Amino acid sequence: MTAEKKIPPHIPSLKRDPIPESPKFEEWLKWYAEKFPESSKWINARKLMVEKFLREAEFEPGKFVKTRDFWWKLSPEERIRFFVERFREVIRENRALRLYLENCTHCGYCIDKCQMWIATRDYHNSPVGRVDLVRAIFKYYDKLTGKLFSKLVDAKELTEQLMEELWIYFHQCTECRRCAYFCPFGIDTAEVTRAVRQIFAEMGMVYEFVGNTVRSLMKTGNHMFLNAKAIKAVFDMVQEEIKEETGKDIEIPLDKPKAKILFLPSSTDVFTNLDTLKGFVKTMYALGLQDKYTFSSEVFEVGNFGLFVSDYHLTRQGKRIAEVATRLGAELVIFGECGHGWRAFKNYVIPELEKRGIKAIHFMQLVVWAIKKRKLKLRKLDYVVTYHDPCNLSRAGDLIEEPRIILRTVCKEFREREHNKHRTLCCGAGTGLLGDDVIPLRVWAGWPSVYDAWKTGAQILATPCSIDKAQFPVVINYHIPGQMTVKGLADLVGYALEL
Amino acid sequence: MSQQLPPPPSPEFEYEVIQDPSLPPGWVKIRLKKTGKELIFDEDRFLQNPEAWDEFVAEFIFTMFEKYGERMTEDHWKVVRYLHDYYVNYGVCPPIRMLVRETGFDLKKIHELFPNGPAKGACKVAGAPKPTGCV
Repeated sequence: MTAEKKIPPHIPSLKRDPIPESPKFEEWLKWYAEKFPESSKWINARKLMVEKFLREAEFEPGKFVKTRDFWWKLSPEERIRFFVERFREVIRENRALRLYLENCTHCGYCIDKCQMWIATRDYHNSPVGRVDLVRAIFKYYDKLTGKLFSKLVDAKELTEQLMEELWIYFHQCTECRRCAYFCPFGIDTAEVTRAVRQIFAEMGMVYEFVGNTVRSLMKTGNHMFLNAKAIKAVFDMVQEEIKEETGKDIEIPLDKPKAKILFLPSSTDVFTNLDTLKGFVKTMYALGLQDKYTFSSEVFEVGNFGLFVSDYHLTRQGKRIAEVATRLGAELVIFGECGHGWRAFKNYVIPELEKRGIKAIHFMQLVVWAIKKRKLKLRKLDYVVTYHDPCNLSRAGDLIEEPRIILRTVCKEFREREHNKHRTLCCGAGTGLLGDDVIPLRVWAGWPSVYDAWKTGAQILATPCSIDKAQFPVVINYHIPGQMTVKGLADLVGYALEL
Repeated sequence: MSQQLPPPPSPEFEYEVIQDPSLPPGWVKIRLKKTGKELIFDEDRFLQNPEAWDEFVAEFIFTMFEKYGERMTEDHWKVVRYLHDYYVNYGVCPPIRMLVRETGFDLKKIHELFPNGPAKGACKVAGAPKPTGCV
């Protein structure tokens, strides 16, 4: 490291700091160091303010929006009153949340574990700092000492300014739960983030990108406004491509009646990650399940942005999957590649399916089973590959060894990263922070993870998560253009398969 | 993105801004002087009333937001016409690989034609909405 490539002394730094290692370090100094200590307050996630769109996303005043009016029609006092009321209700209902707010001893162990803090060095953009914003309100409204001696116990009355801060900082958390893994008390900041965002959502305040995606999810059952016709058009092209590559005419089934297996891909698999779709199709063909499975245009989505908005939206999509599977008479649901979707699926949809006697399995589990039973003919690809554990697969989904078995089987060399498995670093765009308005945050929040992978010298960064596949190319292009490519696990399985 | 639209690069593309308080902040409504059409743009300057799209509108979006002051060439039109037809037919934009396959241009060429890329440049000119989901 050269002398000038150092973080200025007034800003806290880490022992082995990934930020100065970036070729774009100068930009960082310009963006964040100048604005320290409130270095991430200027990145304000845009709010969705179109009434029609909010209604389409099922934010109906009176039905879901609990204020009976959208937030911009409320007076600041009404907004504050609503927030406090709902907040106290949530705290009363949710004991875990109360525990998270009361238990923190401010040891500070979580601060440098948060990739958002690493990127911005803003105290309020670290797990403890973020929750402290809520903790102040909690103390003021729920504790006698807070009301009487607010200055002494750091209690704060909710003001318009504080509300704005809550919006800003709670839309810079990616709910990756890395802090929860390291916290000695197990305080899960993601739960607090979810609760705060749900209260915002109940006023009709949602992040624009997520809101628009939920609009599509409610309307079409996928994230990208796809209808059966559009899916079919892409399927036809992919079918042709597979024929050109392998000489085999493999039909991709869509809405086939009475299929025994329902396959849920991510909607981006027919947009940007076509190779992932090919991987699925080839694997199913190689396993001899060609006649038994189908995709469904009604639920052409494994992801569930409802997880980032509210429980209502989360369960809506979950129920839809269960209904379609039941109507189809499916016996097995195969889950494609998605990070956050697996968390929602595993914890909500699988129990729902089990009630109806339907089994569910992750695509990676299926491939590992097939490898162990020697049902797939796989050749070794000439790639050096490293693996990024998506937060929701490793920390919330128990899928840690499966991808490693697959990568060791299909690739020449698999290199483990330093921060892996439960300690994985977030991609920096979780919870749908994928809009252009938060690009400055995205490129730097994703850098620690990309740097970690880059250090291994691998040429391919494999990840079974669609948000990662959208986010990492942006980060790589910004910092180290052309030095790494991002691939899904199914892509690699598809390349390696001999049909 | 600034709130103001850039000034028209040539007299042909002159427009007037219409004040409409019902629009969300950041959106603008304008009337083109040449054809008299009313257009609504969102914060990222995506067309929000796609039914108003025609070739002059495409030309206008291109010269205002893609390559300021430049005109579209035959290659641009090939991409934009394909994308618009696809959008009208299917209600979404095609995958990039399909675009490459159908137009015969490689990705590098498309990025040269539309500096903001296929999704945020070419689709914008073709009058399609902003992509959602994990893109």
